Amino acid sequence: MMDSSLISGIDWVRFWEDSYDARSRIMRRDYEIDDWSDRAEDYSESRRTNQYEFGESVYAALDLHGVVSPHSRVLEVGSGPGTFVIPFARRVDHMTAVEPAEGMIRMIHRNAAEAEVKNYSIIPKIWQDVNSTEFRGQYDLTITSTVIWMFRDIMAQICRMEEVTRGYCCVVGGVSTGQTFEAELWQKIMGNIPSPQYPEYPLIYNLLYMHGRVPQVRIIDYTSKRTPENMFRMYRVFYSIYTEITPEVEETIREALYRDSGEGPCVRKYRSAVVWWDPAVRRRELKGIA
Amino acid sequence: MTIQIDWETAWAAGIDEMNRLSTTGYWNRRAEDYSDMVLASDCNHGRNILDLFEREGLLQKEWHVLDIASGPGAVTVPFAERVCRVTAVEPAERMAAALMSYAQSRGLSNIEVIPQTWQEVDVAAYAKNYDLVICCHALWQFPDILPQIRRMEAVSRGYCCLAHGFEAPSDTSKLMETLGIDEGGFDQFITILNLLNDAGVNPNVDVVDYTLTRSVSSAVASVQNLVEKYRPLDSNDSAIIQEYMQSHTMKGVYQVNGRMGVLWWKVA
Repeated sequence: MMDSSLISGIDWVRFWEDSYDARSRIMRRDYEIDDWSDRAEDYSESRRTNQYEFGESVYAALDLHGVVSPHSRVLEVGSGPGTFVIPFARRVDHMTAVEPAEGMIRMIHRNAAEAEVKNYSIIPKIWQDVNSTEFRGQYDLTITSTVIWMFRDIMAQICRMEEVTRGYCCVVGGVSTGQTFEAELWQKIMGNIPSPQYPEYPLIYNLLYMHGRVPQVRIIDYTSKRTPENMFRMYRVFYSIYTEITPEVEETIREALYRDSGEGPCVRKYRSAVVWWDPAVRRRELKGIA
Repeated sequence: MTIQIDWETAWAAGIDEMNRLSTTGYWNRRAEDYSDMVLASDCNHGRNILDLFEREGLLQKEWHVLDIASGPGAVTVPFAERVCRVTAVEPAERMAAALMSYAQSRGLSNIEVIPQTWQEVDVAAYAKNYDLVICCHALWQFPDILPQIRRMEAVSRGYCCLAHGFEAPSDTSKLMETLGIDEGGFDQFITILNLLNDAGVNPNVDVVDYTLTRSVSSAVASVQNLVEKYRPLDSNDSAIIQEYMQSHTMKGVYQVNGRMGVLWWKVA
């Protein structure tokens, strides 16, 4: 029988770091900023699906709970092609995008022009290089999605996100929906090497909770639609991190995509957890922690 | 590295003692002081759950709600004031009587009671019968928590909602410490959240503040009953409880602030 006291003693930071390290051990090279420029086209297409359904759903959840308003100044950590910049800027006072990849920045400009959005600015850096002290308390919301897995020092980066907001923080994390395509493709290309884990939710909730935060959650479902060529580009970049991209690997990816979607667009259903909290509010019994 | 925690086993171990001590007989003894608290608080915590569903734009007048372990009606009554019908599952006779008395005093005739424990209820007879199934502050009743949650889903055609203490009121914790009562540090909220996510149920999470108000005599009785769950009450305990309540009472009313985690999801 498991000792229930072990629950409160779980070191979630250690779990996070172990997961990060396990990924690193099977990588033949680290992600580079240029990888994200290569991903700009497919990422943009994904985020634009159904008129920015993903960003719109996140905005609706936060708006309903008073986390954002027309007066909000919002900082997005790792904007990619403008994941939240476009849907949020239409409704808030100002969006600031932290985004280092030139390809992604070009995409933000292109998407913003198309949406006739002008109330945004870009900090062309990785988040870790941003001097958070300089921006202390300047935003009403700091938000990020599909980025935190890159931070081994997760609570340090969360604290920096908290430092720059005078209002709320929000992390939008992927939730596993049991899709088998990714696991099957990994097995075909990588054999028995365990696939890398990108645990975001509920691990991030546990981390925040154990460090005294009071997070709330809305689960959102959304669709991503991409051309086969964009999906191929995405998988090519992804697998180049873990193995040499040979003609055989490329053919395996193309075959899998064709079997999945034929010659039409690849439509995927995803689920995410919108996790937000007020950094000034702490669980009472954990006062003084972090 | 994948996190491998058997949350169901952790839950069963964590609630073991509370489940063993909190019998139907215990809740019959608690009926009076608990009812006093619910009435004096105007069902504050239940009303806040109602507000949550209203704010989300989900609450419908036509709803039929099932409230599992209703007690004297902290959840049942606020919902019955706003929806078509509420069915309360409540095995403790005195609690059920208190609920019906409270309902009558509020002019409510749309409440019915199933006088059984949830485990005894034949879910097949109520398949997809309710729009919302709620279990508030009572999950400790279920060592086999996941099968019981699946049974809740089986009778819901809309939503399920589990509400639980997010953190103990700090004042109450101090009193318990003085009395030498260790209710255990098992964190039910975070365990149930992880358990649900592991099971593929991804609930929304709201953290809701509430205020509980009660008379001094009700507050004293509740703590005395709580002590007697663990050991016989002696004169020293009574003195400590009386003194504590007197010093924490304003104008004859004892008030504590609490926070509950509300987990809710749409049933597939």
